[in-house]
Amino acid sequence: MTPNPAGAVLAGRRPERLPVAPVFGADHAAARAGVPLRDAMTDGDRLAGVLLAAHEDYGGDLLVVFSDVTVEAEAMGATVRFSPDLPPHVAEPAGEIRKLDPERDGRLPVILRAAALARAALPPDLPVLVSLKGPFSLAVLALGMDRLLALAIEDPPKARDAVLAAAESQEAYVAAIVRRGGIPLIGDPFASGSVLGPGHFEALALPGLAGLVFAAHRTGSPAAIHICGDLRPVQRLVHRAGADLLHLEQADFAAATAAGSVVLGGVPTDVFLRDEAAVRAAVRAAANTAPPGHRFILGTACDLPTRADPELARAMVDEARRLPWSP
Amino acid sequence: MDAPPPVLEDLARSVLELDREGAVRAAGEALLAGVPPETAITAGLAEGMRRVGERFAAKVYFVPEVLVAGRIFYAAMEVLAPHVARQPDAAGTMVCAVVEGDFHDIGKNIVKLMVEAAGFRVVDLGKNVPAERILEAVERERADLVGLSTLMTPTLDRMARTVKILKERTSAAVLVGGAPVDRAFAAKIGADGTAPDAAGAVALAREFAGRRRR
Ligand code: B12
Repeated sequence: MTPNPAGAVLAGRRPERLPVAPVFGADHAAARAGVPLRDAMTDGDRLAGVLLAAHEDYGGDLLVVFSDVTVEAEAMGATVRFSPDLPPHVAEPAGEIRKLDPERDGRLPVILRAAALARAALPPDLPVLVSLKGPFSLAVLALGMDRLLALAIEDPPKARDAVLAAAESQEAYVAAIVRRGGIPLIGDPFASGSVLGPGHFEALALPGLAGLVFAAHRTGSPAAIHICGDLRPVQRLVHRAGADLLHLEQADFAAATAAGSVVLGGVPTDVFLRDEAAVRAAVRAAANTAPPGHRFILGTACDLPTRADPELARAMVDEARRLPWSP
Repeated sequence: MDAPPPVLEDLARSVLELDREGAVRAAGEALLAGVPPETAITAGLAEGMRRVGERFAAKVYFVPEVLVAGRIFYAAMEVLAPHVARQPDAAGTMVCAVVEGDFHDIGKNIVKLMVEAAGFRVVDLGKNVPAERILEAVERERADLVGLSTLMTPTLDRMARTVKILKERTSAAVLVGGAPVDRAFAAKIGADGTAPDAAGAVALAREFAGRRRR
């Protein structure tokens, strides 16, 4: 069997073919399996089941274990609403940030169980990334956006303390993910350049991201960061976090690989609500604009939409595998 | 014409520089100097918010700065508002909402703030709002304008449905926006206009409210 090309790229080797990965979360995987979202998001066995079924169907070169953005905030006491056909959202923030026990609190054990099951079910060289929230986004989701964003300007030390408290809590989660054989994938949507400028990114988002990447590295694991939206205003600062893999949307990929990271992305997610021709064209365009060298995993720029047609995810992988490739 | 009193520039600059104390102080100074509070609001505070919008569009300011400028605007407003002799007619009334199925409300909140700062009365229905509730609010508030927002492609259908209902049942001008919305889509679903940012939303609101008043 050929070695997994995404694993090879992450290990700094030349892959035998272009690695490709449609990235999806529990919402998409559960919807396509006909499993109610809430069931998949509250039960580790079902979460692993729907993710692995989608993975097997699409044939991507890596798997992301992702339920939804509210997991840690909910464990801190935020009220989270589930609905039948939409990913859950925070209805009422927790109002405080407390240190979580990842083995015990909220749905963290659900995610960890799914991570362990996925790891056991897949070839050892296929990367299993496990999503957790970046400290800045977690602080926003736990305390409420208005409160944290206003503190950022009106009382910066307090805002920094809140983010550091979130980072401390996430350190234990990083370690627990690594113990399951997962690679921590730190998702920080509120640190997107669509929301934060470089000043606040540097003061509030970067220290926590760098701290969690270091926490993973201390255990011998690589670490990944996912930020969607327009990254350009803050991209050079993102590089300073030292992540091994960056999963990005609107960004300068060549700058990211030059800074030492592998990049995952390139295919905009809205093409999955169009047709097969659009998906295939987007894959070719992504390959044409790939950064030089072998530090690229052709992936969706963010998660597949909940209702994306599975046929289109298969077409993405198929098109990527047809691309000319010289190892 | 007399040169504008320097305190108006202080008001505008305090909002722009996110100086809450400065803005509240300048509001008091404007009253002491006998500047009509209406003028202090429109030529001072609102002018400051307009400049904030420019910095946001130029990516000098980001979301936190705009939200804080909004808080400063309202803090200074609280000093001025009790002295406004007669509530000036609002430039118009806008009902705004994020369409059903979507919880992304950062963009809508910024549009609301900038439209309100430009002198409109804004009735904010929040996020994940069904078309029927929007219709009800437009009728109840006799709104001139509706601002609909969505950031997700799958909810574009709900936006289209909401626009259809509003256009059939009310005479309000319907503006739509959010990252996946472009001019072609807005035209296709029968909306009256769209803009890529909050400054554009203000310009459209002025244009359509002006047309309705004529
Ligand atoms: C921050 C963010 C979040 C935050 C939202 C917080 C909040 N309260 O809003 C959180 C983390 C909670 C979140 C959650 C999710 N998100 Co999100 N999120 C983003 C992100 C990174 C930035 C959006 C943003 O706030 N931009 C900043 C604001 C200021 O810009 P704006 O909204 O565009 O608004 C401006 C203009 O559009 C315009 N405008 C806006 N409204 C209007 C209205 C009118 C009338 C006018 C004229 C103008 C106008 O003016 C505004 C100001 O200038 C985007 C990435 C991106 N590419 O945009 C993804 C994104 C929007 N999210 C996405 C998704 C899929 C999700 C989730 C479903 C993920 C999941 N699987 O759980 C969940 C949704 C949960 C739910 N039930 O709703 C997708 C949507 C994909 C699509 N096209 O359908 C995006 C595009 C990321 C991606 N590429 O996949 N998200």
